[in-house]
Amino acid sequence: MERILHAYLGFTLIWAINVSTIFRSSWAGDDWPISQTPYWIQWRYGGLSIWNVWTEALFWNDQWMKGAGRFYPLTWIESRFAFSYLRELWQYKLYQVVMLFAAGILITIICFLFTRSHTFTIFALASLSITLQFRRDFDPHIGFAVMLPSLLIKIFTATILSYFAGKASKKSVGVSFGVLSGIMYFAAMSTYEFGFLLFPMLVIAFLFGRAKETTNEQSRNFYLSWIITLRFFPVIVAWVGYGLYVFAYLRPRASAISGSYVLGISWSSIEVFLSQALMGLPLISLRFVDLRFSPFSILVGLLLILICRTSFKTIFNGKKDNNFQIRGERIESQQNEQRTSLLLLFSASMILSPGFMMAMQPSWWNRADLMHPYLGVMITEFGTAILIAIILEQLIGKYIKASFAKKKNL
Amino acid sequence: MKLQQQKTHYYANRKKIKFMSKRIFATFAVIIFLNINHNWRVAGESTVRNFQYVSWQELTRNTDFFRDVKDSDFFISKYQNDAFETNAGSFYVNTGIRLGYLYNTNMIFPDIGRCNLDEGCNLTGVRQKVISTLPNLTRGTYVPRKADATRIDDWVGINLREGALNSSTIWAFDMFLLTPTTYFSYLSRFLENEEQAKVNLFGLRAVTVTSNKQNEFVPAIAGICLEQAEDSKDRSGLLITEWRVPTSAYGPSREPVTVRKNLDYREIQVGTCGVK
Repeated sequence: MERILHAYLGFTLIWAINVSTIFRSSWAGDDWPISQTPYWIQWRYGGLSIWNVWTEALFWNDQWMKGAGRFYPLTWIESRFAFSYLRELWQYKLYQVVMLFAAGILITIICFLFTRSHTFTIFALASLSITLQFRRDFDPHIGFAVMLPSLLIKIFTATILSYFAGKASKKSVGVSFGVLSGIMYFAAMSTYEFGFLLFPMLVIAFLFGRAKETTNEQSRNFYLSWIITLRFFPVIVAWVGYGLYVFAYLRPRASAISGSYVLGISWSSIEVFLSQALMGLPLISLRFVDLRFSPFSILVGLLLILICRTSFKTIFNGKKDNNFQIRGERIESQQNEQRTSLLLLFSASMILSPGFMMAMQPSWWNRADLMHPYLGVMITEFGTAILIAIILEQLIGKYIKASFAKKKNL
Repeated sequence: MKLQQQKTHYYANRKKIKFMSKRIFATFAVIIFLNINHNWRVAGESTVRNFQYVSWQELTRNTDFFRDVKDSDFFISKYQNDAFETNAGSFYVNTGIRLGYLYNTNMIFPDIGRCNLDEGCNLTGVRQKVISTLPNLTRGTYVPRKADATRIDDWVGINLREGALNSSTIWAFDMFLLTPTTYFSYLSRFLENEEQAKVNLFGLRAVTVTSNKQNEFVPAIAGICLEQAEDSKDRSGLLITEWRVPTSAYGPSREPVTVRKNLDYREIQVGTCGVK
């Protein structure tokens, strides 16, 4: 257990150091104009107060609802308050760092809840640090008002709650978790509409929760039917309710939907979709110019390698007969092959959703490619980290399995 | 015998696992090393505007460059951009002066690109256009639920009241990066002449904020080299120098030039002269 804790601490530290590179950045993207919010408010109303910030946020939300038919009030509220009260650059950067760090911790918790495997969870945590890449165009890590980390925190929280909605032994407790999950999911969609496409994550979480309560035999036949229950109903209500409100009410009444929010499909959609699906792969955004190193980045890089080495050692080098941490877990996981399939679906929903959305937006055709992702790329990065963890676990698991087979034949 | 075989296999297995773990570690190590450097660089690239930002803060917070500007005055600026710090809000918080607005030139003269001075085209009605554009900045009839309806009377609403802008001055103003190490700004009031947008050249003030410890050049306006108005001030590593139009002036090639009293707004072109 001590070894596992060391590995967790090591990779958490690596994650924290990686995320902390945000401190080096300045205002970026939309953060430039949004950072001026408190000054505009003071100019217009003579002073900065909670009420003024609140009404400013509602004003802009109202404009976008009526104009573009979009509904993401929480971003307006969060960003207006954040920029009004975190006016120094370092304060805002600290906020960005904390939010992104928290998103990473939440996905780690999800991985453990789903798999109960420390090795898998540690692989996922380690992989986050290699999929997280700042982008030169639209970057959701260092810019854009923390919208994506905020969305992910809410989605991950809703996912965890959905898991417990399925897992709770008492129905009333399960329904309560379901209600909380639905509320949190609605909040996520109200932060960025993108959350609407991440509904499968909540379904899979619920199934993982339910799977613990049933036998494997049942699970093969009843997975999907499980979501037709009062426990999951609030999540469905949130999803359908949001969809109806935006697509059946707001958009038909919108007065000025810009070209960016018109949906369509063409042959270019395929190219956009495929290119965006790859955007979470490690080093994909690396350019030749990035191969120039400063003494500081070399020092930090070496420090990370050192921590990485120690952390990997603690996973792989067991003591006595306990030769490999993953062995026991692998045997356990073989009892439910569907776990891997569901994990794959979970990561796929995160990897593919951003590309799917962009593929349907004509404004991205001939524009989005391996050099040009959009804000959703952060979701792809998190999904890719899980995919890498699955691949690593499968690789090692197969090897161990083969070793055991040989051992048996001896 | 069987136990011995099992033991041998166990140790071979451990060796293979160790080998595999080394490969995984090596892959992670290389990627982590390259990735942190990449992120470090991209984060650094976002700081390209920092000098402009800091210069604006310095100019508006710690100089008396705007000493003649008062509340409800208006600025018209070619390089103004609400997407950055160059806006009326930031100006108010930093200077304490609540401008009527800091307009971009294109808002007041949308056709300025097609109106050539050489062809006798004049930019007319500066004051009238400034005032008639102001209602575009109102928030309309939007009042949040439970909000006080009097809140509509924001600064724009107050300035739209009858006679509120009678004593307002309209200024030609700009601020931009002249060289990578020098931020330049000028300020000059428009003449009360609705026939042609003109400024009084002798009333023009300019300022440079330099990240170097010395001025590398003398700024010029409309082909006239400016003269230093007072000693440079060193503030937080930035050199701040105020400039004015000299009465006996020379041009960039050190040739004497005659200074006209008034200048068309479009003639305010900024250049440089060598240091004496």
